[in-house]
Amino acid sequence: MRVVHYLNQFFAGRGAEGAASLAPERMAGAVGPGRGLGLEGLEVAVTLVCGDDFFGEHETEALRQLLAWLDEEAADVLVCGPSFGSGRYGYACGTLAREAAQRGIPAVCGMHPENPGVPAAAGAAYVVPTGERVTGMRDALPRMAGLARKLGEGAPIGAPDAEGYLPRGLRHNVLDERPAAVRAVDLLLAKLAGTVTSEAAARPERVPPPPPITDPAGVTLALVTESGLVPIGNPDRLESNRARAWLAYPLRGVTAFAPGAYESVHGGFDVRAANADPNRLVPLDAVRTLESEGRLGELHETLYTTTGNSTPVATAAKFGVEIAQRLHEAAVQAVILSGT
Amino acid sequence: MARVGRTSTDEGLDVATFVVLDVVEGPETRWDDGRLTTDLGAVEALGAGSPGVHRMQAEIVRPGQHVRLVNVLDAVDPVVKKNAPQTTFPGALGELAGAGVGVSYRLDGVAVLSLADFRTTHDVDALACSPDGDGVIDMAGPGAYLSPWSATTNLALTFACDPDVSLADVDRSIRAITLRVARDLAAATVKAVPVAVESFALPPADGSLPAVCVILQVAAEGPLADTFFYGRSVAGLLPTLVDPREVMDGALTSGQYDWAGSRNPTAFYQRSVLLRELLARHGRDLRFVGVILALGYLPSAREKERSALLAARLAKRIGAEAAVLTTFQTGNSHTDTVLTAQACERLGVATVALFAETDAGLTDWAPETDCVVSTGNEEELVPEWRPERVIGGEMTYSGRSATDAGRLPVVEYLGAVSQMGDMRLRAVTW
Amino acid sequence: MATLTTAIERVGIPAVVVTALPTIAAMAGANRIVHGVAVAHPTGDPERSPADELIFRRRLVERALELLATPVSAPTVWEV
Repeated sequence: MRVVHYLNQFFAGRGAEGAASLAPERMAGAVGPGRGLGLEGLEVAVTLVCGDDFFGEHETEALRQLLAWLDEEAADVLVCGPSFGSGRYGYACGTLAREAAQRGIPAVCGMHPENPGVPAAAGAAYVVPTGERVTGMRDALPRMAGLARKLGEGAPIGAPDAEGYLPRGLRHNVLDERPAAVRAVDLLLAKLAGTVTSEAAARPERVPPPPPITDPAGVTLALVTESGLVPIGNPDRLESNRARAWLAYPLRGVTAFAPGAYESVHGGFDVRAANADPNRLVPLDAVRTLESEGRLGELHETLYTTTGNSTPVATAAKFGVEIAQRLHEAAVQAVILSGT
Repeated sequence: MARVGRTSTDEGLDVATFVVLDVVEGPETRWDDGRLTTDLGAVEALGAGSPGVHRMQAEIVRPGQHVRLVNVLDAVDPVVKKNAPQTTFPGALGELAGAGVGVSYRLDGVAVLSLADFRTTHDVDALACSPDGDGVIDMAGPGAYLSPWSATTNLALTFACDPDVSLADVDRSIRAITLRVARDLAAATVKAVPVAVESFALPPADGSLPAVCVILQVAAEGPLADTFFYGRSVAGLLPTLVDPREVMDGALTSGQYDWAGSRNPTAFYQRSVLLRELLARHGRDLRFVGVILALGYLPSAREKERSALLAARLAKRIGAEAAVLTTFQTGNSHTDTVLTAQACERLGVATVALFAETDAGLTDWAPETDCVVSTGNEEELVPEWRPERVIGGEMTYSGRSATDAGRLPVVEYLGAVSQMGDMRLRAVTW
Repeated sequence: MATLTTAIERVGIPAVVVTALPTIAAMAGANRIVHGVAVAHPTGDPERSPADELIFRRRLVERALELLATPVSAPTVWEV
């Protein structure tokens, strides 16, 4: 089993804060706490190191290099940290672990349950809970090693309590003794008798509304849609459901979406009305009219489109973050998003 | 003593079940003490001459075989109306007659499956609502448990379609033939002596027991995405009161081929664990006051709200104090369920709702959906399995080879996350 | 849909969602919502004549711009 271990500059023995801007490095064998993993029977083949500040300020670059190395090293499992209560280190561990796990390399971190790295691991990587301080190292390592070994061997991983990791927030299937219909009748009668129980909970996530734009006549507006609107023929093969990507199409010089030039590939509704006039999905013609009249400042030159048909929330969130970043970099000031 | 009127208008449904332990090929279709013999040639001949069906291949598929079935359209439990077989599946196959009364003979342990890969002959994407096309049943392997039809011996009918006939007409033929085969198989038992008979009755019950109804969500989104009530599409259906026994006795049939795991194949209406549970408990710890059919996937907020309001008011009108809300498939139909729950709760009808989930949990919710049954995470991936044989096509909808499809999500397995509650899958947070 | 909107608003850009299902969008976290026509054509109306439809759509976009220029503190749904 090929084990790769990720450490920050401090645990790799490269110094404390001064070395926090260390760019990613790769070292053979176990370093620092990695030797402790070895004592637990988990031999580290390669250690990857990155300064916490470097990771925080150049995340894309750091990830690109670290993931490339992980790939080259054909890692069976990635162990990150433990990072205890250290926020920047924890964030780096959680983020790298998440990206590795999403690429098929199982990953384990160790950190305090309130470390911001825990949400960064985002349900893809495993996080073993530790104390806040480095003095917890001797307690943390064996537990991380145990889980890492199972992951590296491809053994099935059981419930969080049983295996010693923080719940990842994933909805995992189990077989109940009773069919769902029987549970439904039982729960309903219990509700009538005063006990309300639910097998699934809502997790709404509210962002406070940003302040309004001050001057519509001067605003840079962008159009985003999850109606599956694409150029005719769907040249980039946007999926009609469970979209795996969002796409960007130029709007420069386009004053309206002409039928026959654009279409919707959304698989969840009857697309005929929209294909007869795609402006019924994204109101480009009206926006251009208002733009030419000076009622709005400028239409951003790119349309961002995807299919919002049964997109898993985690995927939609990722798309949202990426699109938002593009909009932010382009200094877009307002968005009209059409949904179905 | 003078009669003051009939004590009950409840006619009741008697269902005799004949267990099938083995299915073999033979010169005629017959049932002998658990062995069902079927003349596959005669079954295949039923397919000939129907508009749109080039050819139909019938084969027997058994639990444990290393066979994967793909492009499964529907699963139907064999049943026949003993005293009026020509009325079996009234409207959809048979003559019109009230379903849910009289005597039905059914087979247990065998199911009729229809399979067709429409994409090889038709432009499925040209449909108003193009179905997903994945309906997988693995007869063995890690995904077998996800579908109830891995445990039945299946008479699999694979249809080769005529590209010159419209998909709607092809589908009409397929559905009629499949129901016919199901009826004819059950008809082998009409001379047999029934041993296991269930009587489904709804006599007047103790008024102090809580009155419970079901709001059963169905959907109609055009050809290949339709549900049929006495043979008529439910498109445009306003919330409608029916007897649960009608649902169990052939009044509802499926023409819906999208989202295999979360839709209702015909067999789920026939064998519904939910309706049977409520019938069994009627008079014990509840009163079962009826089933309301209501549409999901209504296309606008106003239509969704209207249907929710009408369903809730109908529930109230029939005296329900509580309602079990089922959901159909995936996506904005969940909103119909949520709105219906809200409308019910506002009228004082307590609700429980059945939902399949995604990796991120519920698709939709409201403060009023405080009592939810999870029928499982439909996005969870099943360990891969390479069957020795595939029936129903060569590729899965997503373009992967059916013999080497990799890990499939739970929702591609027929019936896996049934939101009528027939299965035992459930999602917990790990 | 609301998830995309939430991500955009998180970086401080106000967004208006045009949708035929406004209560759902509100429940899921969208803050500024204009009530669209139908699931299959949120920003159009095939029942209208082409000329009327253009006028309607223009009004819809104007409402969206107005809402973008309006402070809100909670999910707010405007009709066209």
